[in-house]
Amino acid sequence: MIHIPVVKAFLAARLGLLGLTLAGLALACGPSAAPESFGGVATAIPAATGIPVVTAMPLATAAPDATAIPAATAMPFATGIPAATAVPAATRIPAATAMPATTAVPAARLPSVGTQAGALVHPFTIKLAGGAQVTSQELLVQHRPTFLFFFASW
Amino acid sequence: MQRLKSIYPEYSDRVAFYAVGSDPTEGIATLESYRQRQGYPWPVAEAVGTSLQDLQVQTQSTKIAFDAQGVIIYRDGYGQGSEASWRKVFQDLAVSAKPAGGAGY
Repeated sequence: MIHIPVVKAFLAARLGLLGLTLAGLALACGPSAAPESFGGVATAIPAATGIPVVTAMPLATAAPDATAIPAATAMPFATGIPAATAVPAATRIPAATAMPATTAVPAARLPSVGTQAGALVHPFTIKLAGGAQVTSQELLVQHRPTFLFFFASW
Repeated sequence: MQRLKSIYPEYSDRVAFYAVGSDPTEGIATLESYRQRQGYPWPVAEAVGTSLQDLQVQTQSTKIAFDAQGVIIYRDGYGQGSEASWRKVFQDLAVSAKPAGGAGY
């Protein structure tokens, strides 16, 4: 069974202890870090002060009926202060450092095999009168420019 | 081919020249006999396999010239070309055989 006056007394005691604790920490950190108010739950403490929020809280000191208020009802002030999540400006990449427009790198211009001027000659093989064969590959290996004249005897 | 007679000797040491039969029914013996009768100084040859089709040679008097890198620099068909134009082709072919700076292959 929960007695409302007991709960009020318990919460008042806990808030009072919290205020004292935070006040002591603020003094330890210097005047500039002291929040303006310690009366409530620690909502005024900026994350940048580095003050540890979780403090030891004597749960059972003010509650005559220890079983009436479970520990799970303690103030969740430890989760109220978010860590610094904003990205500092210094870490942002300035626009001036952005990559310049890409410069096209021309690929090696190798002609493809074809039959017209400008193309790589199609591989071929011819047989000479003596029976020897000549291939286009051999001519290319020997770096021999070649003129082919196709004819008929008639 | 008669007009090539005056050009070929000048470049025979730098440019390979082959007179290739364009009629598949004519064997190398026939082509060689013809060459001897005409007094041509260049070698004759017959195409092997699908070479005529691969080079898309469909008529006689087709001319194909490619440089030392295998790039075709000149192609002409029947009745096309002149002594002057062929001489220019031979000159260009000879240049490709000997790169500038005297570096040999």
